[in-house]
Amino acid sequence: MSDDDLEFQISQYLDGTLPLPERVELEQRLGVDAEARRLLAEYRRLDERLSRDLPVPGVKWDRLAEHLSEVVAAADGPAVAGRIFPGIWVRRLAIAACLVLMVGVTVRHFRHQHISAESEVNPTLVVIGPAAEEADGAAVQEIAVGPSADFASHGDSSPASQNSVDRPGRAFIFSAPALNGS
Amino acid sequence: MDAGATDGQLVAEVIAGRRQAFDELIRRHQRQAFAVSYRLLGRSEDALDVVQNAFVKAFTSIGTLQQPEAFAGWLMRIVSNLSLNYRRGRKKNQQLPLDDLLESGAGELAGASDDPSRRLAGREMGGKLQKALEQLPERQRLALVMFTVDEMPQKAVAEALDCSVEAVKWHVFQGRKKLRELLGDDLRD
Repeated sequence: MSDDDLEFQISQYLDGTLPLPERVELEQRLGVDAEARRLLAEYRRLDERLSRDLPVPGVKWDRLAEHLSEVVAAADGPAVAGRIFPGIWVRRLAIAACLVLMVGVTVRHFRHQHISAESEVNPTLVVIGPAAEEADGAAVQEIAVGPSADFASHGDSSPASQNSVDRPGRAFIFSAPALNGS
Repeated sequence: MDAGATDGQLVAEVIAGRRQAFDELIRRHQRQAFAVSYRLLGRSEDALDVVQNAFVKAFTSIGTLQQPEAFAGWLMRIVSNLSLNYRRGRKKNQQLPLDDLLESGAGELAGASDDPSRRLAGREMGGKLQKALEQLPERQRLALVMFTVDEMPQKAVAEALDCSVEAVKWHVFQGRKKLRELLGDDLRD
């Protein structure tokens, strides 16, 4: 145990607030440790002097009470909110209001979720018409990128024909089963 | 007014509009309020000024007191805060009938002896104690003054300092330790 710990124990011992197990331990130590006894005596003397020797100016207490009463009477009364709802009630009301609000929000949230789940419908488009013929081979046999046969045969040098050669557009090819399955 | 009523009952009466109940609270707590403020400020005029402001503040804001039974600790918190602010500002804003309120002559000693030489020694020691107290950090000084000197319950001191009872014990210990170091030989046989 450090000196600080011992002094803290002594301080609490003087105040009568040292827990019982520690008190027993300290009393045992005081029985054998002269330094601990000296510390206790000094702390005890300090407390005696603090309560005995510190001067308090003489005050006419009855007159002071009268004076304070007059000053208080001239002051505004306690705040109106305080009169009607003392602090503790204001606090309780605020907590109750918060709880009601929370319950309301929670109920509304769950209700909204329930209604959404019920009204959620998968849109289905039913098309009635002639059945599609099954393809014999590939849907697209050939993709050619370049000037059309018309442009090529005429040896056209128009800007449109040049563009179709130099800047082919992008071609996206989807497989037929993927489209059918969607 | 019922002098046997608890502080909590008196507070409830004040809140209900019976101002006279506050006079009983003044009579009960004015000495302690004055003593705490005086220990912190060291001048009776300043302490009286603070006590007056503290009681007015307590009266006007009594509706905010959440535990009416803890009035004493709450009032001491007001007193200590106002005293510390007063210390920083050193402002005098009240006209107090000081001659009418203060006894003439030197201050009272709680356990004054009839023996003149012992009284003198007590006064000397009192001066040293007051000077040593002024060297303590605020919270240690407040805890020590309220608990050891003015014998307030630790719980009320904790309320006044807005801290735990354990923290009060620690502040009191630290204050005592520092005073013991400052007073040195004066505490030895």
